[in-house]
Amino acid sequence: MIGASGGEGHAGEYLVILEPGAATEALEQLRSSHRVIQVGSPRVVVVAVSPEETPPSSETPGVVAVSSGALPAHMIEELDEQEALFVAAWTNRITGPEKQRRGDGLPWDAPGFEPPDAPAGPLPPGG
Amino acid sequence: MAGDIGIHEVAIVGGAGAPDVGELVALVAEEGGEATHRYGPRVLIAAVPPEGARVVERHAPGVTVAAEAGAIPEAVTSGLDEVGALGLEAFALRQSDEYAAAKAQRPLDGEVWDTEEALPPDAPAAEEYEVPEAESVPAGARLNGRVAVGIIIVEGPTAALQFTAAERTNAVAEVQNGLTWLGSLVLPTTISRVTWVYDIQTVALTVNPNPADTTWEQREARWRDPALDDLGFDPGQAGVQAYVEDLRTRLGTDSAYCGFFTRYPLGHFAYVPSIGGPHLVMHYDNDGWGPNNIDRVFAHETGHIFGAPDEYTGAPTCECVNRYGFCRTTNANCESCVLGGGVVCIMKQNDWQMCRHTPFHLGFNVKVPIAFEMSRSQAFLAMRNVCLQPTFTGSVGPGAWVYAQSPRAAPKCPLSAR
Repeated sequence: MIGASGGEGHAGEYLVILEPGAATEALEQLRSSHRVIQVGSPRVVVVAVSPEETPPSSETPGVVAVSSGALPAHMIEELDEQEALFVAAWTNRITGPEKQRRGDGLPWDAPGFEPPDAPAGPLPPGG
Repeated sequence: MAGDIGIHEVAIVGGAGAPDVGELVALVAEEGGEATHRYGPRVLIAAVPPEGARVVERHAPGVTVAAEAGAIPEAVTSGLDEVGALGLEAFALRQSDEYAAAKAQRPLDGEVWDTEEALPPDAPAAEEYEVPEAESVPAGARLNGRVAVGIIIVEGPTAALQFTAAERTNAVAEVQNGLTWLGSLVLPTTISRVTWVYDIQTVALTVNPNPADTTWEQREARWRDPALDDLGFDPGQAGVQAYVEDLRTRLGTDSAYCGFFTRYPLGHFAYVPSIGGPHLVMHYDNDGWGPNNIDRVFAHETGHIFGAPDEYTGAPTCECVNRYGFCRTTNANCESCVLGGGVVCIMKQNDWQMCRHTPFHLGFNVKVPIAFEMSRSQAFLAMRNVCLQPTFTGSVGPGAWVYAQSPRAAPKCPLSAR
């Protein structure tokens, strides 16, 4: 079994904002030094950094900002709508409270719950 | 003796640096035996008489032959690859008292397959029960490399069909969370490297739900097709396919799929219309699981997109016969098929864990065999064991062997120099 340690999956993540005009080269450079796990747009990416690794540096050519939390407002204003939504979502994940989950650990077909997959066949009457 | 099948089997295990045990298959046959299971380059299970087993062991330095898995020294099994370890573990399980006891009390032992007390092992008529076609459950792509994910939030004209800004943000955050977890399962020394590349769209429609929609497709098409039109694509599955293909091309990824979030009435709150994709559908409220579990449900449905079957009892794909996913392996952690119900897995329950079988369905976490010293046939088998498609270039020296990650992909990586 893998992933047994569970967790909510955001330890050691950094948001990196790249220069629009140099994003392609900067992203390639970033890939060579870090594990890029999410790409929200060509200039908005998330990297995973393990405890023994060094986080990316905002001093690197082509990198505008490196953040482990909320971005400054003036930087968010420079993002387009999709990028802003992606950054807001990431910030919520990183800075939000610990999750309270319904049905944590239960089988998908546990009593009282519907499994997330469609049962075969037609819709039930009134369904 | 392993299991209750009345065959005397032995495990033939190569130590680190020993020759590939595949080379011993012919010798086993010469000794009156038969190789029954091969698990990678270091583990072979064979039905062979005791004297034959001794001949095999004498012939192959560094190889241990044992009728009991527990008799194999740790020094021999040290560093065993995952496939070999799994095969040996299964061999040990079949020798255990627990397994023997379970086999001694088989339910309906001796009953005809069409007994009234159980469904027969063959698929009933399609109209009674939807089961995947044997050996041909579509796999989708291999979960590896850059994966494009289209998130399409589809809103309607009334408040009940709309999302607040916080809900839109939360939907994206949940997807990020679920896929970050999935990508984090990459093991070192495997070829898997997953980066999720996003396209996020919000579409506001003026169309209302129609209570006359009585089928899954009618309900989905009610909002899906206008949304596709808004994005510049044709209606129907063809339009979804075109959008996803456009994503893959535009974002330069190895594979692509998309997830629709909506509050329009659906046939079910979360589903993929077909295993293998290319799209999934989720109601934002996420039924009784709630929006806080969208991450796990999205990860679960992504499993289906990449070919993984369900593992909870009652799901049509939780069965023990068909082969699934990229590596075409059976659903070996299906609750209905495995002793004790199997282990915790995202395909079985609401948890952040994955069984060791689902990666094979996803084509995920594959170790490329070191084929430098292998013959052509050995390299072929070794690569096929981990679902790589080998190609012999015809040349000699470096680059003589290449592999691709799927039969459809162009060969990418030089593998050996023989």
